[in-house]
Amino acid sequence: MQATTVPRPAKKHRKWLVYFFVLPAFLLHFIFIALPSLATVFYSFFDWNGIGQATFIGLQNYREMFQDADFYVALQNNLKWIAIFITVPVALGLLMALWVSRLQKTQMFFRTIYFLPYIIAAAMAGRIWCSYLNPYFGINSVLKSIGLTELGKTLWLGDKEIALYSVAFVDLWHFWGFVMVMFLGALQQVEPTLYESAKVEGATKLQEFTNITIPSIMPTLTFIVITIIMWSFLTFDYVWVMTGGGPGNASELISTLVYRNAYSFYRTGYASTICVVQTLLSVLAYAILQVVKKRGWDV
Amino acid sequence: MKKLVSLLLVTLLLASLLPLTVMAEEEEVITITWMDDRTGEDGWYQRYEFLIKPFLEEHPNVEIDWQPTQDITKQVKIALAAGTGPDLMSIDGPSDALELYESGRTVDLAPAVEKYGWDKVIYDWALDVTTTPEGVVTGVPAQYEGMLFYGNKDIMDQYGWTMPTTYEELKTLAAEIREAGFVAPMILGTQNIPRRNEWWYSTLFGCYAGREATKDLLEGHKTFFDPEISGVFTTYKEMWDTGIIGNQDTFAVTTDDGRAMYYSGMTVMNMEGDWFVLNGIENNMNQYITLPPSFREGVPQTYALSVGGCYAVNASCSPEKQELIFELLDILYSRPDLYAASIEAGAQVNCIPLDEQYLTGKLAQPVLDKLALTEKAMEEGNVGHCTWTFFPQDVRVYMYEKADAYLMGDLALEDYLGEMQRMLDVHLENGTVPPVM
Repeated sequence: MQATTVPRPAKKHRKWLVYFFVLPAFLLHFIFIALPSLATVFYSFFDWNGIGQATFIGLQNYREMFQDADFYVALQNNLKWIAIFITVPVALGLLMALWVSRLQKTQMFFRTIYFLPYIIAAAMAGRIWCSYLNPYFGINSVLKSIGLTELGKTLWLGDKEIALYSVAFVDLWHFWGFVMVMFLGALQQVEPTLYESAKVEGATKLQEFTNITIPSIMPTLTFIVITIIMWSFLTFDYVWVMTGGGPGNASELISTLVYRNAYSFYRTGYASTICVVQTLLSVLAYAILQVVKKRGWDV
Repeated sequence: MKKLVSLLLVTLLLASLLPLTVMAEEEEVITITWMDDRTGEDGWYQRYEFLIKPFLEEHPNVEIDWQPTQDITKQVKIALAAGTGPDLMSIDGPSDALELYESGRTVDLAPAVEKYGWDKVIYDWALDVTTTPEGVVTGVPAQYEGMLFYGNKDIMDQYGWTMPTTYEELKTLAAEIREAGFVAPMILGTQNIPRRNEWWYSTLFGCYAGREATKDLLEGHKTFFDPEISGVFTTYKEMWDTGIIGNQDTFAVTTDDGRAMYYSGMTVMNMEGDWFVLNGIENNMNQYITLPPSFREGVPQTYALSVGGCYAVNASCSPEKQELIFELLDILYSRPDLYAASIEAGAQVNCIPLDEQYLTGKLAQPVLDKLALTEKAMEEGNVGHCTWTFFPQDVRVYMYEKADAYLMGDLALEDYLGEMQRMLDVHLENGTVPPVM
């Protein structure tokens, strides 16, 4: 029987067809992402309270922002946040993934248990942790009851020196399981024969880890680090729910500063300015990592 | 021929549908969206039973889309900024009402006030603060509220303590409470809600600065640096530093936690608005309710007063819909029987007198006591100014947002007062300070 051949559309036609299928997603993206983003840039040059008449003031908002002590505090806190999040959850996630990957029957159980905090709504988890960290009937009462009286006096969310770290701890509790699952997925892709060969060659566990595991999961590791840096610049939920950026501005991040200016002070124009700079910082961090990758950090 | 028949049939069909269309037009339902700050089942009951239901009985073609909303002003502003927004909105207070009106988002309610005679019912002081010097009514005053002192009666009687009437008495009592082993005399939880600092600032503007000095400040005759005014802030810090309010840990305690500590007897006193009378009843608290103490010699115990909310109407509403909204609001001010019933059902008091002849004896004693206390203060003129009603929006927001930094010593008093004065000066120059009673 002779096979019938379906005539393929002309190359030019196929090209337009691709655009046709991409168009709906592009339109949605343009309306809901690109336009509001452009509006943010636009309003960053205006004195605007969010509902009234906007007044063009040129670069005045930018000048004010670079002289605003609160902005620098928020930026500094964001950098501390990044430093915490690109180290602790990555190290913890990787370590736990290595252990959990060796489990056979109980692996799914531990994966689920560790991942569970990630699916709890931040608002709910944040409020629950606020109760735990309450100075009078939270963990402090437990610490006092076991004799750790001084530690039991700690104001976990009320001391300006530690409030940021207390919130970061809670966010880490929520986040590290996600990192672990990502690493677990990457570890399962590593070719087992590589480890077998290394064993034959007499490699130690540490050598296996540094010469096989790390290079094999490097794309995942890089992705996680880039994602964490960008997410860290945008972090908002736990801080807002637990401390609102306080006490004072001890746990203020750029996102909470944006929100405070937009919805407490009703300075939407100024908040837009901070948003623009926040986005530029994220893009800059991403660009730096891309350069590092190209220079051989990636496998 | 076939075409002609078809045409005839279509015409007949359309003609038969015409009466239905007219009927549909006759039964057209008008929906009024109302974003309200009252929430929960109680809020719905108070709104529906004493306001919406009687209105709908008169207007069967109207639907009320009641939207209970937390953090109302913020949500209203976001909705209005998005170009939508409700037809009727309950907002926090006169300064918000003024801002919305000046932004062109809400209508002048002066014609409605005049037409329905609300000015004859609503307290003059309340209507004055929502009326601009040009006579524009930016919002119709809803409930009034003020700051009070509460004491756990069981504990205080047990120890023989009495409610303080002066700052000296408060300091002595606070020391005795600490000696007796209580966690603190009182706690104000501001964690995550720095706005709570306004409660204390409003109290101190009334009981430390005093009514006249605060009025002078808001009219530009005094500044934040005058001792009567700056003393408001230094006294607050002194109370915070010396442990009259908490253990320098107010940022680590939520408002609800602070209340829970008071209910459970971990603290002995509380300072809140008069809404807390109802919280006390709900939690079976046996409590003393008094005006806050006098904090400075020569300044009487003062009830810091505020318009606790306003009704505003969206400027994009059609005149027909606006008229319906006015008729709805009129029930609040023209039906003393329904008003009294709503108070007995737990609603807050409006800025209108309560006609006691309509009370049926269901009102709890603490509510009656509170009403007697606040009405006496109003009669004697011992009323102060709550910041959220009488201070310009940005001044009050800065005041409470930066309170933590000031209390912790991260913000110098001079800088704190200086920034508030700078903001106030702009408003004084532009004539945008809310009217002062």
